[in-house]
Amino acid sequence: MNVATYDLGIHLRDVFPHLREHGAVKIVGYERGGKSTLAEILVGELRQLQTAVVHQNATAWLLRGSEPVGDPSRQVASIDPELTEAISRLEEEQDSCWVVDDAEVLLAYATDNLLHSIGRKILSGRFSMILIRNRFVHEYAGWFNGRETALYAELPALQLEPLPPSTALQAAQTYYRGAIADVQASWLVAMSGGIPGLMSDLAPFAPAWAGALPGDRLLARVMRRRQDLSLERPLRSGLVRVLGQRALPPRPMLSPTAQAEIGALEIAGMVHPRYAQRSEPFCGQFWHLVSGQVDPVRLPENLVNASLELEITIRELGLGPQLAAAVGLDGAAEGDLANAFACSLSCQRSAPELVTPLSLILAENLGKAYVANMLHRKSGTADTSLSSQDLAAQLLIEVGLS
Amino acid sequence: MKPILMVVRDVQRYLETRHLAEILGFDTNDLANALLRSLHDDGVTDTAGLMRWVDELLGKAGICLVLKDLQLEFNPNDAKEILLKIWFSYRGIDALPQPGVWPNELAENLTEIALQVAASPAKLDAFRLMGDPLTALLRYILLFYAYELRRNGRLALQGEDGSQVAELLGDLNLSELCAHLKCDAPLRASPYDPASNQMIILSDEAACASLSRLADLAGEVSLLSPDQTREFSDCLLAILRAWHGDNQYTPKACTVAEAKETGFGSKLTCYDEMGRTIIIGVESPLTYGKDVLVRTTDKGNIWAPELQVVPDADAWKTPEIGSRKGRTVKMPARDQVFISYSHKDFKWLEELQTQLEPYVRNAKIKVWDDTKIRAGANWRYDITQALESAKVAVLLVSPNFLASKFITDKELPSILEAAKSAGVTILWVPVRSSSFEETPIEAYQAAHPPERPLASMTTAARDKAFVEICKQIQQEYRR
Repeated sequence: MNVATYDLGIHLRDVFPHLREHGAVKIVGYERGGKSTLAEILVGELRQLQTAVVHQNATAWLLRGSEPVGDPSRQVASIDPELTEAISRLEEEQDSCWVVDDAEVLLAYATDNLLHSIGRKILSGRFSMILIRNRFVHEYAGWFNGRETALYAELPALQLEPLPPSTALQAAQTYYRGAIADVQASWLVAMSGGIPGLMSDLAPFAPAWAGALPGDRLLARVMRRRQDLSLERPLRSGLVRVLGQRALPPRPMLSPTAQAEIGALEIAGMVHPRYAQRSEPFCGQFWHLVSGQVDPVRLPENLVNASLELEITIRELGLGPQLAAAVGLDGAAEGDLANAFACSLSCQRSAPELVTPLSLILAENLGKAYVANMLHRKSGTADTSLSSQDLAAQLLIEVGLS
Repeated sequence: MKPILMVVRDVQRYLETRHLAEILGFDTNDLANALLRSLHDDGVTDTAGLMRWVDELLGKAGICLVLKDLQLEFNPNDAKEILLKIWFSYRGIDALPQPGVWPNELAENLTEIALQVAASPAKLDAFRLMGDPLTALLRYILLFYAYELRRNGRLALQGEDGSQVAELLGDLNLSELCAHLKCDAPLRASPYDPASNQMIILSDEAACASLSRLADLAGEVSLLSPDQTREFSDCLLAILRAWHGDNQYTPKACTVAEAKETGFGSKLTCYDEMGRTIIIGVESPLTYGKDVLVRTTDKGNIWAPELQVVPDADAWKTPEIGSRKGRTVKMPARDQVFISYSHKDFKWLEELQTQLEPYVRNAKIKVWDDTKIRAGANWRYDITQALESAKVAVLLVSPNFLASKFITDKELPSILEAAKSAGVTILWVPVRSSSFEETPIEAYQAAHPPERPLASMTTAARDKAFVEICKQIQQEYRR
């Protein structure tokens, strides 16, 4: 049985309000997350409602006939002709919807003029559009984001998540028969983290009896994935190690290079986009095998206590929510900021290339005025001839976070 | 009220309502002026500088709170630059013209695209997607950053470890990269220039060297010493000769009237003796190998071919500072005591002024400090003029003095240059203990023993020391 039979968590009823209000919506997923399946489901449901649908994906644009994709010389110079043809077909109908799977390909290759033109047509109600795409390395900035903004400035977004445990278990049970089918299904859910495509990939490797160790075929697959993701590269391996240790601060506190790297791992479906707010940063046990099985570390108590002190000082000044939002911890509970500080400092000591120094983050977000104020509260003095970052560094020393 | 003052008022209100001014060492009784002095001390002269100053002081949280106070609509998740733009635009300050994208952004984009392609190699093609940003990056480097490249030998870009491309960019060797991409020839034949209508290409080696030197000098053109002005003029002459292809070509003197910051650096306005304007875009003297590409200004009148200049060899021998349309201003006489101090040491200036008052009243000396800058005047011009009139320069030396960017970058070099070239006497007064030994000041005469800074003395002893200092100032002034 196909996992597509099961609920992927996004339905036409979730999409419709956005199409009515904005004329377009994007659905953001990750590798093997069920995007193409979802596209097919949505197309089917739309057609049942008598809506004219044009469904396109990378294959439609890049595979001209049976030509291979990989050879640049054989690829088309522009995908504009295909897009223009699709637009013509959409405009012939009263009620039409363009479902674009692999939308990152459209965004990458369409010309600027055509992107603007599509945006204008959506706004004027000529047709509606559902873009289904992979996450971007930088979801809210960068080149791909700029291209998407050129098409539609504030495209509403739905996130494709892994299947919830109960749904994933139901799906997993369809793969197995026999005495230990339930054990195997549970193994598959734990291993895949509920990622539909990964479930399908890993299903054949389930242990033949309860408690069996991972087999050679599974380990070979693990190694291949490790190579595909270039996890041996120094920065990436450092990142994955600290993630496994549950000691990586939130993404906005990482160095720009590490931010891009973690973005690539999110696309692969390995790392959860909100890893810092979860007890489990990876999307399934499979990724623990791929990352090399690192145990969580306990951050030193003095670091945690000092971080708490800093958080309390920041919250007393009423700046907690602002700073939390700036470091990607919107709606953070008490202690979350402190944990992020402690992780950042711990990383700063063990792998400084992964993080932006905490002093810089404090200086850039709180400014010299508040940093000096906090330092003054702590030490009774603040040399304001120093820069905001130097003051922040002094503040960190003062609270014991050097 | 001027837009910049409105921004300063916003900052003032922010600091006052949150009781942050005193901690920052500002005079809370006159906070607006204290903030303006801080702008002055930090050498803020343009919008970009003002943005940096505000950012340093307030940070993103502070900027958001100001926008909230002003009841402006904003998204707190937006980048600081966008939030600042909203604020400044509300206050009538437009952002400076800037390139649509900076080289480091292009480098980051390349890293991003490389990683995105690696995630979906079957769908996205690196060759197609990276060609344009890579070419654009090279063009920007050539157009806007050749100066930095030349100065630093390389352009530091982010993106190491990101991908092979990022590594390549992080350790950029322009000529190798150009050779690798085989794009040097088209770039030289047809440089990217979206704004201008005229392009001048100089191939003459001497002219290139002159242009390089001109660019070096142009950074501080408003504070050029007579020697530097002469050198500046010589550079101009060499370039004009190369441009006209005539080694004997001798136009009349042409000196700088105004240096204006643009999005890319300084734009110089000069007048010849017939009152004709020449605008020189030395902000982007673009070198590539032996060639120099000069981007024209938006007026397109850099060294305009129709400019007729009257040969007058003598004019080059005695260039004047501050020439104006159709007229020249003679070098002013040196008859002032120029006091240089950090605004954080204002009380020491007041004390010295008080002690010098009897000499001033009896017309024995003329004293200038920046409290005499005229309201609404171009303060930088006033300081330059005062320096040109200085016979004695008194420096109130403290850690604040040595830490002031404006003093160490602008004022002090001019004073030291004037001491060398025009015989200006430097007397420095140790106000507080400082690392003066690490500065050129050490070579000059202290008006008071450095091991006993004024701040460490009792009031009575200090008064006595000031009397001695004033006597020395007067003696040097009369010499």
